[in-house]
Amino acid sequence: MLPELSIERVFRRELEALPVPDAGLWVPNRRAGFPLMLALSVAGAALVLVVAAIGLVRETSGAATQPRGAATAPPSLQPSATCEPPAYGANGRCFMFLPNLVRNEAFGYNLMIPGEWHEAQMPPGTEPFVRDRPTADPALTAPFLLDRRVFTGRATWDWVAPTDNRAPAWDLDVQVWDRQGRTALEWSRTFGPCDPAVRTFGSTGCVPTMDTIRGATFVVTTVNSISGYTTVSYYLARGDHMLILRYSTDPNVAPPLGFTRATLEGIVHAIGLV
Amino acid sequence: MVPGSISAERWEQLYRLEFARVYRALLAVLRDPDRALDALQDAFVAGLRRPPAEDLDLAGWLFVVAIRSGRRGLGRKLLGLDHARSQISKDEIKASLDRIEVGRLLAGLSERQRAMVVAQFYLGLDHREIARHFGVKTGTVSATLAQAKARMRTEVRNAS
Repeated sequence: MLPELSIERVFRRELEALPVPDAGLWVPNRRAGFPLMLALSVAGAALVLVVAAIGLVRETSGAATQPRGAATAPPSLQPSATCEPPAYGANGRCFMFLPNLVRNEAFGYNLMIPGEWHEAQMPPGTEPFVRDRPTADPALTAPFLLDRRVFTGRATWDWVAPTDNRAPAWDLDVQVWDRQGRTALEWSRTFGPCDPAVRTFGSTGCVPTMDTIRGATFVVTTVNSISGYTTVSYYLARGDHMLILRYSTDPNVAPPLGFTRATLEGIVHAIGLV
Repeated sequence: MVPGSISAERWEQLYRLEFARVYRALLAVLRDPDRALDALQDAFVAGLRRPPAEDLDLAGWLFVVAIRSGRRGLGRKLLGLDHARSQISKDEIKASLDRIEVGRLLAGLSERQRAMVVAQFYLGLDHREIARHFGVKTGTVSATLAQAKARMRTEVRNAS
């Protein structure tokens, strides 16, 4: 048995023997020193960020005049003038994470999310209409949620868990349902935010359109509330499933630094369907 | 203390000071050099965006933020590119960890137990600090560490 008083000494002695990477690798990969081969390998992924960055530039002036939400305090450090968010400056260099590929083999889609994004865990009880656990609001009996993943650009300590089944504003909510023979358009009118029965969203201003992404035609609905809260939903019927990508924007809640609605659109439009 | 207006350069200096210690702690917990490096880099960027309120136990802050990031990052392998950059093979690390007594003892614990054990015995955090960093009650830390130590004792007994 390890005598308790010597455990710390043993830990220090033994763990100090473990190798560490070269000091040049300690700080995340920098744009300046990014090897060409790596850059080529992730060119497709980088394209998503470029799309997001273009949107960012367009919205910069508008975002600067918007009120900052209480949910997300501005970070203490602002990116340097020469680094375009979400890249950050340190010691005169710009760096950023590589995008992450999220594979959902079970339901046949891939997403490329920015490197700082991660999956958020929705609290138990906020899943809408789970199989074998139907809820009463709204009263649905046929459709069942098969899979749900919520992605956020907020740090763990910044992410505020919702109390209802809506993902927080500026997060991306990806759901797969048993579609029970309904088309995407029917679904959007019956079970989505355009459903008049879903009082929390309201049906005013619901605008359905079509969007072709990588050869697949999505039904897209945009619902605007009087307060400026906007919910955008993409619906795609695939076999027995209904794939839904949904996000909301809220003028009273600041998006994660460096990300905008264009980021969310970029993620949605880069979806891979397999 | 790290003031709220800490510069990026100052943050990088502090990070570099603690890097080796926290990286080794992460290796002991995550047992994977790529995950450890990714997680610690995530913590670095998190600190750039919002530095910790104080640097009295900066290593502990980096460690816990990185552990959380390491858990999230289990499924994301960044297209496999990071393996090339770490320059430390997983086999090497695993062999090192299996060779040392501490590594063998930690292998029998859950990741959460390993994290708390390493936080206490390697990073020197007390139960209260561990509880604060991990967002749990002090009693939970005590119970987790007691279970971990009991398991390590059993391991030592079986090995001798």
